[in-house]
Formats: sequence, structure tokens, C-alpha cells
Amino acid sequence: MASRMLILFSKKGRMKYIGHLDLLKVLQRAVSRSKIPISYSQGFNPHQQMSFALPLPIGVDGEREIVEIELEADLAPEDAVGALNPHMPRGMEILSARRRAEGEKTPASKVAAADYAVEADISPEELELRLEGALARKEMKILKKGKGGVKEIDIRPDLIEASACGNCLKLRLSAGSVKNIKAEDILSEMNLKPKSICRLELLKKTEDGFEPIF
Amino acid sequence: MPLDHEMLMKAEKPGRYIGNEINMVEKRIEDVRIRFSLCFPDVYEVGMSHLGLQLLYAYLNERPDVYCERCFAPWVDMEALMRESEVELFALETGDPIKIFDFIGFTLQYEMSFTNILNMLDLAGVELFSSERGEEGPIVCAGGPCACNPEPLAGFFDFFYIGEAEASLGSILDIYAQCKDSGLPKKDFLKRISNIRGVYVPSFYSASYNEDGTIASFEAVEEGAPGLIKKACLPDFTDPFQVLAPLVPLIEVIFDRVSVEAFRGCIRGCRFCQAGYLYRPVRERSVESLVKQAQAQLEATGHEEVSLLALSFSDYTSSVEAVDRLCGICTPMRVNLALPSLRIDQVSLGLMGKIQKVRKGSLTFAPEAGSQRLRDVINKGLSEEEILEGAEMAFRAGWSRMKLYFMVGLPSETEEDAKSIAALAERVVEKFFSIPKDQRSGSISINISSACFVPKPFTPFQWSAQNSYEDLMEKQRMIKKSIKKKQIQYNYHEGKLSAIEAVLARGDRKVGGAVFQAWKLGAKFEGWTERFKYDIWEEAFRLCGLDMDFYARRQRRFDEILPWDHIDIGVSKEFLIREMRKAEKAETTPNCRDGCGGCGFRKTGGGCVGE
Ligand code: SF4
Repeated sequence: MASRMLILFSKKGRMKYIGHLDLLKVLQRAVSRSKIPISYSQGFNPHQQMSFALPLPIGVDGEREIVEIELEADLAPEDAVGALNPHMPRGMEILSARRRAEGEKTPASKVAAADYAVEADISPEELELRLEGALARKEMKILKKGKGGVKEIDIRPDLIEASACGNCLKLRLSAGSVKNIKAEDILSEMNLKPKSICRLELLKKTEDGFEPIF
Repeated sequence: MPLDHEMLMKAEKPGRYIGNEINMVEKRIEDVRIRFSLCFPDVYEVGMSHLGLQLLYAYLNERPDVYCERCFAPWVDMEALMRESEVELFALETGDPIKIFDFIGFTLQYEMSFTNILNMLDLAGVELFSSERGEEGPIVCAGGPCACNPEPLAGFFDFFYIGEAEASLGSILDIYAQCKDSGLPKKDFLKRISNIRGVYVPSFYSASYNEDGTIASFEAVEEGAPGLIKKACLPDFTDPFQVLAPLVPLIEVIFDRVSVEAFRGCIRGCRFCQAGYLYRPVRERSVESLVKQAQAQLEATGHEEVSLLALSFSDYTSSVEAVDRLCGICTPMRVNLALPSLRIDQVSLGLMGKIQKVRKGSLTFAPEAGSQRLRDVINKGLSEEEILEGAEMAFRAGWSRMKLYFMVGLPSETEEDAKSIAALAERVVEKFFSIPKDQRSGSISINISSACFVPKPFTPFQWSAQNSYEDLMEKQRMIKKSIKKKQIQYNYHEGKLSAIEAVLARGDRKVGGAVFQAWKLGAKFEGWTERFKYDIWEEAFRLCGLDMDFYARRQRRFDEILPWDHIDIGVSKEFLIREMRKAEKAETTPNCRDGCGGCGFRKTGGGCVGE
């Protein structure tokens, strides 16, 4: 029986310099080596049925990223984790897996926001000040390239939450297929050069806020 | 790793510089005696597509006393960042600067990468000229096909290795370990290895020149150095050293696949093809070994494609059995099988039919010359009927797209010969339309491309003059004009690049000075058409008082001392002269299976052997 499995993984260290399309290849080859029973698409060039919740930009660490695979035979989630981990390059780890229930939406369609942790290159006091400044703003207009050329958009509503602790800045930003804001867009509005950016969690919308998808 | 986050984020492709690939070898430095930096003088994606690199990496790392790490030429963006931050060239595995290694070993695949070698040494903080390096720092060496005429690079390398690494590289490392333990100077090490087969220590030799610039004498100046350097060559290839777990790049490279060699050498004897002479004699691998290796590599990599390599795969005696058995492995694994070098004949089409169930792809063949006379001159061993029959069989079998490779500027080529490239392509198109509609499919598309002929050492054309680049371009324009049918696309090559390639390929020691000047003037990645700068080379040769035409466009005499005469690849000069004389009369030589041409090796029942 075909089943869909969600896989939670981290992508950090040197692996953060591997872009989305290359990551797809890296995971496909890991799946091939692990011999887990993945399904293939039909047609002249069959490819593995694999899709990500949301691409991770190059240079950003991913703490809890999600990929969905389709299996042509049943496999216990813990066995999938056990089979895949030995084939991960250094910097990537399979953290957990679970079946996606019949009727449950795909992770890609659920993503509504993402949490980030940013390491700033300024003093905690200065960071506090800039954060206050950013939160006080009514709008944050930036130029964004889209299908119909360059457009001006206001990203202030997409800065859902933000807090600072020491020189670490935590952000919750709109993400997903409807509106996807890069952490760097907000950071450049705050005139901040990050030492590192980490995506902590992918979130879905619930009645009273957000909660982790996985 | 010596590159920080900011540098990596500024680079066009940071994935080139991080190593960390699947199957990367990790060793503890305390556990090894010899650190070897395997350097490829081009970008990561090119180097990682190269079978020889994977082979050497596995071969060297199999020794517990050696740690071999890789190093590629950083692309110009990263080079600028490294120079700005004073980061020295480092190896991908440990990130350590390669100047602290025991060996820096370059693989010489292509003349146009010579300036990259100098650039990499400079970026590593290593003196370029071997005479200036002193006792500190690594031994700098090189191997690969371009090492068969090492003279243009003689001043930069401590030694060259001519031939197949698996044959005697191991003994060199053994001697190095002994010398290192006893604290012997570099020169003692070089003296000790100079008698190992394949080793050439250029500083042990000296050349003198005639007034006209040709070589007057070339002699050993160090006692005990051999007069003739013989190629190191595996006597047997039935079950050679296996690469069990090739590196799997994390970013897309040029050839994203595993490759397995079916045999070394070639039975054909095309007169322009250096590889056909360099890798003699033919040594076949057993199907067993081939299949075992392919399966092991696919399982260890998860790659989607396996390619069977040979100079002409359809000449492999067990080609059908090999393809059948590999299809049996590949199909359930959903892996593609690729056969990159085929002749246009029944066997090849049969093989292609097995691997391309859907005849969507295009077939690639290399007639090399358009007219029958010229194909005989180059000993292609292919008649027009065979080409057209092959095309017909392909069309009837369902293919409709074909790539045809040609060369312009071959010795004795006339305008008519060049134009006949277009004529041949048109006849292939006509062939398609002559087949009843219900017996062919698709719409025909023929892609022809021409490269410029570059005379290479150790071929019967090693004495020949190259066409001027103006002539090369003119001929290609003429071909373009002669093509009338819209089903034919034509791509052609930059003649100036081939002109420089020809100078470097047959250069002597003096040419090394011009390579150095060209590097100083900023020449790098010269094999990349968009980066190639002809003016720099002109200027470099002018500064050295050298004439490029002397090297590329001069008909050399048979009795002239050639810069590579002290290298012996096993094919005799008498044979090459005989072949050249036959070429002049457009006479062909049968392939080695049909009859032995007496090339210098000896044909025996079990294959050809050296003396
Ligand atoms: S010895 Fe004869 S058969 Fe063998 S490679 Fe040379 S020419 Fe060919």
C-alpha cells in the first residue's frame, strides 16, 4: 500500500551552502542508497516522489525542516529514520518521521509562518533599540521581484513576532506559498548584518495562532 | 575551514569549496606519513567529473600511510576573495593549506589549463619554479595525458609521471617514505625514483638549440638518469584496481554519474587521435569485473546513471554481454546506462536499442571528415556507405536526432573536403526522407559540429603544420554557407583557442617562459571560451622572443629532435613515420584486430605487450 511519510531533518554547518535543487539530489541519492521503498513517478523519466515543505535559502541553517516522500510499500517511521541516517552527509540528520494521515493536507500547503533565530553582529543594547524601532514602524515597504516584474510590497504585517535576547534576535515571519518573507528582508530593514541565520521551525495557522507542522 | 561565512556567501557557488561529499575519505593526520594533495587545474565541477581523479583518490587513500586530499582551482570570484583575505589554497578534506603537504600532484588533462597550475601554486604560496623551491615545502609533480610532452612545464615540476598511476606510483611513495624517515634531501629522493618506470625528473636533463630554434641535443646531466623515459603501463587490465565508493558531489557537476572503464587503448589507430596511441596496447577488462564495479559504485553512490567508458565502446569484445548484464542491474534500480563513445554500425545500434527503449534521445557519431579521401588520410576506417547505412538503420529503428562530429584543418584538407562535411550531412537528411513514412518516426534533426584539428605528440601527425586560425575560421564559415537544409544545425569552434593549444601541445622548454608570462598577464581558465584571451598569449610569446608559428604552423622534419623524443610511450617513431607516409597517399592501415600494423608493441595470443 502506498503511503506518505513526513520526514523531519536538520541541515546545518557546511550543508547550509547547498542550495535547494542540489539538496533534492542529495536526498534522492541518500534514499537510493538506503533502499527504502520510495515510489517513482510515471513517464519517460521517472523520478522519486519527494517534496519539501518549503525551500531553505542558501546560507541559512535549518533546525527542523520537512520533506514528504511517497512509499510504495509500508515502512515503520522509525525504520525510515534508521535506514536514512547512515546515508546523510555530515551536517544533516534525520530527526523523526511520521505517516501523513489520509485527508491531512500536505506540509507545503500548510506552511503559513516560520521561526528564525538570528545572530547579530551588534551589542545587545543596540539590537534592542533597532528591534523597538522596527516594531514601532507602521509599514515596511520593500521592492520585490515577482512574476510581473518588480513590485513594492509592505512586509510589516509579515513580521508577526520578534524578540531579542543577548545578541540573538528571534523572528516569526510569514512563510509559504501565499506570502514568503526572507529573514534577510527584515534584517536589512533593521540595518542588521547577521552572523548567522537559522530557521527553527515551520508553522501552520491555527484558530488562535500558529503551531509547528511536525 | 579557512573560508568564513561571508566569503562563501559572496561566491557564486559556495558548494564548490566545502568538501563534505558522500564517500569523502577522512583520516587522522597523526596516522599517516604522507600527505598528498591531488590538484585539478580547473573548477570543482569539471574536476569532479573526471574518472581519473576518482581513481587516484581511491588508489592513494587505500594506503594506510597516505592521506590524499583534493584541491581544485577556485573560480575567479573566490580567488579574488581569497587573495583579499590572504587565504592560501587549501585542500577540501581538512582545509589545511596545501603548501604543508608532502606532495602537490597535478593532473594534466588539457593544455589550456597550464596557466591555472601556475595560478594555483601561486595561490598556495608555493614558488612556481622548482629551482627556487628549496628543501622546505612539497614535492610538486604531475601526470595525465599532457605529461607525454612535459617540456613546456619542465621548469615548474620536480618530476612527471608518464603513464598509468596504478603501475608504479606506489613504489614512488614507498621510496618517499624511506627518504622522509631518514631525512634525506629532495634531490636524493628524486635521484632514487628517477629509475622507476614512468618517472621523469626534468632538472636532470638539459637541452641545447640550433640557430633556427630546433633542438640540437637533449641529454641527461645527472649521473644515472635514464636516457629514455618509458611509460608506466599495467600489463593486464582483466580485473584492475576498483573504485568501490566514488565521491558523490553535493552540487551538480558536468558528468553526474559513475563511470566504469571497459578497456584501455583502442584498436582503431585514427591518425589524429593522441589517446589512441598513448593508451596502447588494448587491454580489456573482464565483463565480471566491469559488472561488479558498476554495481558496487551504484550502490555506494545512489547515482542515477552509469557510463561505460572506452575510446570506442563498441569495439569491446563482450559489449553485448556487458550491456545485457548491466541492463539487468540498472532497470530495477531505475538507473540509466550511458554509452558515450560508439561507432556508427550495427553493433552500436543494437547496443543503443537495448539502453534507449524510447528512441527519444539523439545518437552521436564522429565521422571526423566529410570526404572519403580525408577519412582515409586520418585512417578513420569508415566509408560513406557505412555512415549512410548506419544512419538508415538508426532511422528505421526509430531515431530521428543525430549529432555528427567533424574536424577542420586536418592535414591535406582542401576546400572541397571541408565542404563535403555539409554534403555528407545533407545526404544523411536525404537518407531519412528516402525511407517510407511509415517506417521512420519523428522529424529529422542533424546537429553537426566541427572542432579545429590540433596536431599532437605521439601521433603520425606530430610533424604536421596546423592551419592558421584565419583558415580554420574561413573553412568553418564556408561549411556554414554550404548547408542548405534547414534540418541541419551547425556549431563551430574558436580557431584561436586551438592555435594556442597547438603551440602548447608541441612546445619545448622555451615555451614554459611564455606560459609563465601569460599567467603573469592574467591568463587563467583559458579553456573556457568566454575567458580565453588570445592577445595575452600573443604578448607573452612576444615578451619571450618566441614565434608561435614555429611551434604550431611549421612542417617539422622527420629527422628533427622533437621536444618529447626522450619519452617512450611504447609506439615507435618508425611506425609513426610509416603511418604519416601512408596518410600522404591516403592509404589506410587495418585496425589491430584485423591485422597488426607493428606499432612497437608486440602482438601475442593474449593481447599486445611491451618489450
Ligand atoms: S602491436 Fe600491433 S595489434 Fe598491438 S597495438 Fe600495436 S599495431 Fe595494434
